[in-house]
Amino acid sequence: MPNKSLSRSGLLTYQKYSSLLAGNNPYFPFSSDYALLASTELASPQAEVTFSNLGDFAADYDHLQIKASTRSVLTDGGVSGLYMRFNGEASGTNYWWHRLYGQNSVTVNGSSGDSLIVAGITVKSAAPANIFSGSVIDIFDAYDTSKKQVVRGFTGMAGATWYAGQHTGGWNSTSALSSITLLTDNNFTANCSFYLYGWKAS
Amino acid sequence: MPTDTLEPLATITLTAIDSRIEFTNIPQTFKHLKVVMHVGSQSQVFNTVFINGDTDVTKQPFALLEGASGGVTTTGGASTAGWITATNSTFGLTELEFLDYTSTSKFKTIQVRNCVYGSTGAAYQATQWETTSAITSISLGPTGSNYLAGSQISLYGIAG
Repeated sequence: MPNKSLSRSGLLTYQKYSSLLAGNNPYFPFSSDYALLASTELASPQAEVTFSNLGDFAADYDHLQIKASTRSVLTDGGVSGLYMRFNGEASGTNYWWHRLYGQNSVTVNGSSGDSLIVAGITVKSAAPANIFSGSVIDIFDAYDTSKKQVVRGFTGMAGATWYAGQHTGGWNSTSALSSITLLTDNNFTANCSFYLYGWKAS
Repeated sequence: MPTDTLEPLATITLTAIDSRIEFTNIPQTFKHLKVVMHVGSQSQVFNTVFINGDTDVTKQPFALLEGASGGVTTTGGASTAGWITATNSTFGLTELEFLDYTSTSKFKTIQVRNCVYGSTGAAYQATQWETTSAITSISLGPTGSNYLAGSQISLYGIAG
């Protein structure tokens, strides 16, 4: 913000102020309630990405958010999933997910006992080069051990292969959150990017 | 160490009707951009977003999932292009997120979430700008209409 010029301040006019602001608006140094916690961009194809040591953020953050631009090395048509697991739990039926999406028609489906959450989609490499699917996924009350983990994802891509969906899912556990793993069918391509953000606790 | 992340870059509040608003000289120091629109338009129309002055809407395919009084519908495909969700005279809320907007290896993906009272209801839309150029300007406008006075559009930078 512009400061008032000296010609209108006390130095030249001998005007007195009772505040050190001398007629200027207060300046509040930027302080975000929304902070980047970790990020990675793949230099080469990779099967999964894990954000770990998440307990380090438990004291300061209530909710987590992931933004991801993803593409799969698979070359058959359509889209693959953007899957999510917590704390390395990769087996069993402890996850649930549902989705409402548009892809030629409106579809609702899901699973109440799965080994992962379908939190979003990943475009396959049959799509033209440079196309990546986008996903924004929220994890609410991520550190509240009285609640099971619940996530919501907005995910989609456009073009000849298209998809627009809202996904929800959860993990049937109240364990303290320590890691989030994101994966797809086969590998993510190079240049896929993943960002983890935290919403500060009040 | 967490990094302060969400920075307001600019806000435009219209004091009179206007057919378009534009953010120019967008800093290239963030990873994502968010535009928050609390706007009304003189008539119920779709909006267009022009990036870097590019008005070739055929480079902007989208996929739309929309819920309204008539049920849930979806629209998409290679030839479905050129607009983001609707506005009308009731001052709806629209959020647009431009992911990896400085990347020169990706087409730009735009996540649009929209809520408008009336026949368009609530919508989620995935849009692409099929260009690998970094985004330096964003222009928004209601097709063949004007934003109402009092409309407010804010631009935020998100670090990554």
